[in-house]
Amino acid sequence: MPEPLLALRGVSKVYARDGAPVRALDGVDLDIAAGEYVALTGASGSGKSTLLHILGCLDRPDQGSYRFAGTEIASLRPDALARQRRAVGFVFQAFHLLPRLSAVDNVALPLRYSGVAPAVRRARAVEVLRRVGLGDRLEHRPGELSGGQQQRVAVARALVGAPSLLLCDEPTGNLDSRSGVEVIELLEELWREGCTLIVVTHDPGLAARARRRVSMRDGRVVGVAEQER
Amino acid sequence: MMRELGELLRELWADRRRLFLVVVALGWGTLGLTVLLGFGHGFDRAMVGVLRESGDRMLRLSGGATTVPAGGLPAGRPVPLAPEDAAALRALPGVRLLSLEYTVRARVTLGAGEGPNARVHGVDDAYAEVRGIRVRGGGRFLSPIDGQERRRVAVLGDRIARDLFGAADPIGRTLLVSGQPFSVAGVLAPRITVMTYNGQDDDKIFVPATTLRALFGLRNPSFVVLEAARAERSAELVQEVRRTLAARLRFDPGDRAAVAIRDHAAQAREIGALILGIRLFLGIVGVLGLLVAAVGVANIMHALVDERVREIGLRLALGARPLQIRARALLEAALLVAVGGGGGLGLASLLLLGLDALPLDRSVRAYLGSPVPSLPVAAGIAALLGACALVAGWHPARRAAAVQPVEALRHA
Ligand SMILES: Nc1ncnc2c1ncn2[C@@H]1O[C@H](COP(=O)(O)OP(=O)(O)O)[C@@H](O)[C@H]1O
Ligand SMILES: [Mg+2]
Repeated sequence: MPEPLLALRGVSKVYARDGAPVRALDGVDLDIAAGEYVALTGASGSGKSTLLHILGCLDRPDQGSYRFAGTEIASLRPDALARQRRAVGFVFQAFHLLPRLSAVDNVALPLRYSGVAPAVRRARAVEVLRRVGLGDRLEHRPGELSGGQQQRVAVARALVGAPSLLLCDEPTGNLDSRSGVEVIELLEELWREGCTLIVVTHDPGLAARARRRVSMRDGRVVGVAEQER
Repeated sequence: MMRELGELLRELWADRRRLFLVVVALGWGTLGLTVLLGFGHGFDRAMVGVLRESGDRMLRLSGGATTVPAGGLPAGRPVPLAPEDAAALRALPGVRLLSLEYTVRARVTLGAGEGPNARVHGVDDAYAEVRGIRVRGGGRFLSPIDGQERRRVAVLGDRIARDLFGAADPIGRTLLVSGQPFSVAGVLAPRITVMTYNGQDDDKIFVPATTLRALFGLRNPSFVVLEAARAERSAELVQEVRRTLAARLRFDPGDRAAVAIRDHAAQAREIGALILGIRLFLGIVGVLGLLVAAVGVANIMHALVDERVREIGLRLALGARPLQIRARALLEAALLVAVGGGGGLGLASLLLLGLDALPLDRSVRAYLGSPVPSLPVAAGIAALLGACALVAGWHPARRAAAVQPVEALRHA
């Protein structure tokens, strides 16, 4: 069997809250192959976001090992870690766009950190914004866009660097159902083009669309189900 | 890079209300420091010039009276300085130049009619060098031959020359001193002296000592002025002069009132020390001001970093290298300092140049100097400002680079 794209072994994360330790993650083992479409479900506080942050190298496990394409993430120096983060596209529930920048500047931001020339950056940002259906909103600031449009800008930003892995933390949580479906369909389109897609969601309807469903409770993986569609 | 800078400027502009005060503080500090140092510099240069013109290695002697009994004579005996005593002093190795100085007041006219009651000084040719006197182009000071031949030549102070002759060139013209004709040989360059006696030189008329003696039947000069061979040894020369005169004129060498000796060199040293003190003080005040401004910048930078934890976290999550975050924060601090400091420097230069262009009275100008924005001063201040930026930005920049993306993003 080839090595999976993502491999977690005994991953734990403990937060100290008011003196009492909270096990946000408690010995998680998980393999995800390249090209998979995984839904991560579980009650609020079960550790889904924490897990996603570790997968996206935004956080480090206290214990256990996380290997991405064979590389042990804990061993990376700051610059290599930054490069690794650029290989991942992240979509947050709260969008996290920079309010002072236009849509196109927001989308171009990751390219700046990968050292792409300014003219190319803008061209690529415009291209992906067109792709998510916002070709006519290039110079709008986030505050001038609807929630669904903002999340599409965020998706555009996640995919502008052509990542092999897309991590989405409740991407539709702040959207009405129609915008939610639009965003999810956009993400699935990217998955069909070969991207590995991991989506955290409360929504059973959304979870049912994935090929594999990972359920969590109290920081542990309590069920993995393959799903037909 | 230019885009980066442009974006940074836009962000700073968006924050302009809060940054305004810091920039003003920085500008104010820089302005103050530059103007103060500029003044210090100009004042300094003016003072050095004025001191030199005043004769900064000169001793001035005048006869006094004894206060203790000496040589079998009671206290209170007048001690006149005679030309022979001056000749004895001239022979001392510590004396480079010497001149007698007779002073009278005399009516000076251009012919029949009114004229001022002017100070007329009879001096030797060495006098000009001892006093640091310069003569305007086209004329000359008194020469040795003038003295030997008791010539009737006069050198005029700048102001009295203008009073007498107006705009016309006085050289070669004749004036009457107490009715006796004198030919004008030269006019002094306008000058201001700090260590004056008997008024400013601008108002005086100088003629050969021998001529004045004969004309007015004088014997003893009012003063003997001499130049020390080594200015820094002036105190020793004073002692030696006193000993020499005490032996000749039979007074107690410890009796300081017998002969009055003014040591201009020592006075010049004191003024020099005072100038140094003033500059030091101004420098310290300015540096402190800048430090306060730097603390302000550091404060703002900390606040900016705090406010932007989310943004910084996001940038890191999008793949920014910690070094880039740090460089950006430092650049931001540098920009603040550059805007404030640059503004201050520019304003200060304008102010100083404006002051320089002001038609101030010559005597005011002499004391003030021409406070110009000098290159070394500006370079020093620029270096100080750079240091301020580094000091102010360093810590906040480190904090910014140390932000953990996940903590920042959880704050949502
Ligand atoms: N920075 C933190 N400090 C303290 N506790 C935290 C922190 N982040 C997460 N937790 C706790 O860890 C647990 C898992 O959180 P999270 O991964 O956000 O859950 P989910 O995304 O499934 O709602 C929760 O109990 C949460 O309160
Ligand atoms: Mg969550």
